Amino acid sequence: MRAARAIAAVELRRFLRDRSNIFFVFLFPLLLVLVIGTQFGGGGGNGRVAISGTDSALNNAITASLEDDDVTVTRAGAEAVRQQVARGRTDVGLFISPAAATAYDAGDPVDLEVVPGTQQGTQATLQRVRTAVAGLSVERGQVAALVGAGIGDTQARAALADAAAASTPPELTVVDVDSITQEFAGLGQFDLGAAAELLLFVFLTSLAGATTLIQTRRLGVMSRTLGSPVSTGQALAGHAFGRFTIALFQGAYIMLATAILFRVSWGNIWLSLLVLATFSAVAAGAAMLIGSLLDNDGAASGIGIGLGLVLGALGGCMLPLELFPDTLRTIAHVTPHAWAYDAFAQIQRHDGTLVDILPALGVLVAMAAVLLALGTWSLRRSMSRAL
Amino acid sequence: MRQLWTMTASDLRQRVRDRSVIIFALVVPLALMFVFNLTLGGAADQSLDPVTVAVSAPADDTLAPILIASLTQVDGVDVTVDEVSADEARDRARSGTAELGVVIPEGFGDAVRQGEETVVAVTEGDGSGLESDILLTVMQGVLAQLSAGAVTAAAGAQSGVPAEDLGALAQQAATQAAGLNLTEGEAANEQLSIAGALVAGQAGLFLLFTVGFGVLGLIAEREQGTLARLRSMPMRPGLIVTAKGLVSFILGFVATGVLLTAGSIFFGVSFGSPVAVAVLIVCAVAAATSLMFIIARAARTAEQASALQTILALVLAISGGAFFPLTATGALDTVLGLNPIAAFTRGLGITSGGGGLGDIGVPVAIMLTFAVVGLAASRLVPDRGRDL
Amino acid sequence: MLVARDLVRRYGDLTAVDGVSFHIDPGETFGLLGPNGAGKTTTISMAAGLIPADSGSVTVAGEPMGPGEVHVKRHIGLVPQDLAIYPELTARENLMFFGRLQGLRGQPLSRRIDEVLEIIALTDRAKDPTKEYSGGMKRRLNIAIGLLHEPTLLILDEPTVGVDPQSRNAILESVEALSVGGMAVLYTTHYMEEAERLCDRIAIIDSGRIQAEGTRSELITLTGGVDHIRLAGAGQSAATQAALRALPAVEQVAADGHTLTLTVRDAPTAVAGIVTTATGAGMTLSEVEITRPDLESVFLHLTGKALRD
Repeated sequence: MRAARAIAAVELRRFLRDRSNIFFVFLFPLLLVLVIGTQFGGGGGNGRVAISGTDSALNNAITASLEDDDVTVTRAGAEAVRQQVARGRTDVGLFISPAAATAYDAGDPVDLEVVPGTQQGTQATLQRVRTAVAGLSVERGQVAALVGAGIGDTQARAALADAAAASTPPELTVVDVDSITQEFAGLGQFDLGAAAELLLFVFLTSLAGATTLIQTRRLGVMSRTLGSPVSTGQALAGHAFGRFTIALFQGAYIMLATAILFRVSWGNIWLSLLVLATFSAVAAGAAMLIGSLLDNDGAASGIGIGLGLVLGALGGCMLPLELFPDTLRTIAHVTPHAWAYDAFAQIQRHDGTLVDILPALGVLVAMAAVLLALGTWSLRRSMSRAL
Repeated sequence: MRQLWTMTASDLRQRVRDRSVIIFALVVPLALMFVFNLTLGGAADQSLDPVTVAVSAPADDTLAPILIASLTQVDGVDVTVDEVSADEARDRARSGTAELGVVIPEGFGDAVRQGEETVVAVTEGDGSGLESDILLTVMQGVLAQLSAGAVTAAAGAQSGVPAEDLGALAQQAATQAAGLNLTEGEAANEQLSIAGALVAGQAGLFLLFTVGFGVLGLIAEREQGTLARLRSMPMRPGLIVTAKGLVSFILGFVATGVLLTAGSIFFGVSFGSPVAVAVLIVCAVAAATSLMFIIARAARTAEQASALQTILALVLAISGGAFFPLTATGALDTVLGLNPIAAFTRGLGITSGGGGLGDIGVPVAIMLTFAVVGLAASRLVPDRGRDL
Repeated sequence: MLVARDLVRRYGDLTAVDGVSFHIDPGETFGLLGPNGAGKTTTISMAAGLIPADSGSVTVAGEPMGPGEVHVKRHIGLVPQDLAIYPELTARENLMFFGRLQGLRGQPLSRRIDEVLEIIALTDRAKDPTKEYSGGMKRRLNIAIGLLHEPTLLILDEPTVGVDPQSRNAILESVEALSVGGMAVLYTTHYMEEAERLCDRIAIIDSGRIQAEGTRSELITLTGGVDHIRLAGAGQSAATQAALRALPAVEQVAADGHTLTLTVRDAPTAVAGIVTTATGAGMTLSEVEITRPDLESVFLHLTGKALRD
């Protein structure tokens, strides 16, 4: 055990000496949590509408109405709006010509052009624009109807305002029982992204460590180590323990930093750390297996990054597992990520207890044990191959 | 010229033998595309699905039918309305046999007319999506219209309109035709489909790794001493760097070409005119290669270079929307747009929407400018590896 | 063949080469002897046109040498200190590659490659990637690439560093053979024995400057050219010392217990007379040892430090 600890200590020191690791381990994950959180977290309102047209009563009225409906409104020139729609930078483009603005002021019929984008979700925003414009129509209809009944324009407006104040409009309440919406309800803007990034990066950083095992072999350090009274199992345990410590350290850092910077709630911190620890063990085991199977560190780093990204994507680190089709969600559980993701979900969203996450922990521990055993066997083989 | 080709060919041969270029340039991106496509597959459907709405309405209510009728007249959404009891409406939404359960309360019509409080309760069920959002907005609009009628009637009464005319007044207000007409225009499409964006994004990301196998080889040559030997050969020193650039270029072009082709075959994406796409690839490869020259000057060791390369590749790829589309407007959008990966994706969006050589001027200009600026910058970066 | 004049090369604040001048005649083997970091590799890099000199000049075969002097570079063959071969390529592919860059091609190139492979005894392994070679095999190939195009000046930068004694001997023998064949050789090393064995003339370099230059014996004269003879045995007395001091070859005699250390000129010639004199003066000799100065002592004499680190 002392040998394993000594090897782990050296591995940690080597890791910290490399300054580029500071970026990958400490800055990059937080950057991604931030980007993903601001892009996807917190709903982002009811779509985006870009309006082209001069400042006019009509323009202002539509803008106000859309903004009331929680739609993000931007203004730009006609050409720019068409560009934005074409490139998907906005959901819907609305064009208010000078003629339309004048006609609106004069109380004449108004023609507006609306252009929805082709991407997903634009129809809902388009409907919001339709409703907002219909609302303006109705306001004008109200006045027109009263004027038609022989009431003066000013008086009609005043009477309408009074009547509106006196009445309670009918309300639409929505109860959402959609399981996905429910699942994500109460989740902070950054919570989902933080858990996913944690898993993605801890695994990725660990797999990248496979190359150090290869270098150690190539530089002859491994032969030297095994030449001293240290068994292959101990040597591998030392390396694995080094990777494990790095993974655990990085994971704990991401948890702490996201909790402080983005107010991410990690639920019961001890349970979360336990999930992290078992997941780190799997990651370390996987790194050892790759590092002992391959002899070329260039290829190993390629496979490490590739595998890290692919398993991460499949395990729900890029798109939440809940949004996966059912069969795929089942398949996803070949990855340790999916199990850890489930465990984090239990802890973060449902105040899960140790009993709730025990199955996931069990699977992770089993995965780690199998990978470490395979890694030891394969390292022994590769050492005898080298000698 | 012969020497240039000798060096380029020898490099290519070595890169193919050492399998990492194949792993990085082809295997990993294809695997990622495959997995991403699998996970995003469900979300990628853009057409609006038919929707079932379970509605419970009080018998003989005068305004409820208007609300119900409005649901069946929504543009683009095929809605089936089942009239059921209140409990059943809620249950069907919960059980997923209806996307929406709508409960219109007793006395709805009268309440609206009198401006009294009344609540239409909607249960949004499992798997509800875009279509439900549209229907909710429609109902919201109809309620506002009905309420406007009631308000008008009240205002009329207050202003002395005879009681018998109030109904017509309300009707007129709610359905006034001389209003605002919306005509729907069609936008040019310069966007990639979800699968297309995925293929283009991964191709762009891994391009930044692939081109490294050429230019960054300079650092490896420096470390293994072959650079000194090459420099003692009877040829212009610039030829060595040119050969590395050429290797980057060929690897990048071939890998990106293969990725886009494979992507379009496997995921049914069409990127449009092959000539325009080839031009885009050339420009993207040039931009990516110029970045490698900066790294080759700035890095002292191969390890530093690969770390620097990974950092730049990931930052450019993420800010260029290779993993998920970034939405920004204004100055930020302009800055993000200068990213060659973003320009590459944008260019492919234009060609996939039917654009030809004449339409991709902006992205091409962005990428070429990046390439030129990058090359110029690489001359200015202090040469940390000495004498490169 | 090669003339270097007042070469200066700086890296930032460090002046790696500071006014180095030397020349190499055709067929001559010239050695640059100095410790690690003395400026040998930088000097060679300028001589081979890898890097420009900050000031000073190099001419090869009468033409100025520099990074852009393409045709001048045809005259030289460089064997870098590192194993400058591609590990992914086979020996034949490495030779083919560098041969093409030298402008050789077709049949002549193939024939020459066969020849060279034969010389370095790698014909059997020519089709294996060089990453599978032993250290000695790589070294041999490394040198062979420099010889492939039959240069008139071969530049070898510490070719024996990290080589086992047997391969080292093989390398030294081949360099000797080359110079017999009329090729000029520029050889850097920090091994005194190699310089002594191979080089017609030697320049001792330290801290970027040439401290001394000449044939081995010329250099040794610099230390004063004196030898030492140590006599050990019983019965030495003041009379013995006086008798020895009286000999014309003996310059100095120092006594320490049973041992006398004599400073003499040309010890091999003088030793017989000294032994006779000492015995005649009552000394019973048990041991006689001659020490002559070598390049190591020349270096020590010139720089005040040892050659090896």
